[in-house]
Amino acid sequence: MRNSKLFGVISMVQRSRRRYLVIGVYLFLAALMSLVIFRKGGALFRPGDSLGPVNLIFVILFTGIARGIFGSLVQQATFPEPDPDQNLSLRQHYPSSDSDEREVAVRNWAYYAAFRFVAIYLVLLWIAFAVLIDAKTPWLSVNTCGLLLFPVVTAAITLPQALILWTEPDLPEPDTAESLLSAASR
Amino acid sequence: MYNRISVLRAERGLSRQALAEALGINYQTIGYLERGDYNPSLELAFRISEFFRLPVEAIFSRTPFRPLSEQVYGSKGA
Repeated sequence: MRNSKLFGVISMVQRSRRRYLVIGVYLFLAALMSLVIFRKGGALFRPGDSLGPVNLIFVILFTGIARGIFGSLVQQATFPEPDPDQNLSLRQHYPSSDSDEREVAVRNWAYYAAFRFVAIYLVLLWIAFAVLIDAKTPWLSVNTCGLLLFPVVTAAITLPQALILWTEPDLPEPDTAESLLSAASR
Repeated sequence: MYNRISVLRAERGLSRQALAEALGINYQTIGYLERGDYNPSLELAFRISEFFRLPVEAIFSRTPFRPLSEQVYGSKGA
């Protein structure tokens, strides 16, 4: 995590604050999704509803907002750029970026954890669809698939950074030589 | 893993920022190392020991360190 202030004002040094932020952003997503699902007097969407454009706008809007907020705090290169001069084992630890070894390790773990979540979700979704298609569920449509895939798209784009914000301990303060001297003189 | 980075840093009047710049890492990583929230790679441990011009075992240990003052003067009294 390179930046400890949200919008340059709100301190995000404490982990608890960052967790509130992550919960808040994802609650915002859940609220937006609820608006779409229950937008017609509590009725779940019906076959023939055109949700494609809504989905697209949501993906662009929400992932943009979430990615912007999370990304402004994490501020790390998203993907390591492979360096052809390094062998594979070295490349895993020292990708060509300005991140140090701890940041790279945290980022690798976050991407792995996010990938695992997305993979499990997709497998469960696939099984659910297989069962539902066999049962000839009336409300199952392309729109349903699109709506249920929306969390995967969002998770794939925002989850690694959300995990970093969620798990990083309270950030150490950047002390100065003056503060060290004053501490020593006390 | 235990380490004496904070003691050595304070002893030499170095800020986290200055030490981090000298080692080519983020100052937060120095903080995490000092708090024991992160264990360095062998490569970084050696870089730190070279910077302080001390053997690795003087800076890092798998068991808690005795205070330096006790280690230096305590044995004389015994």
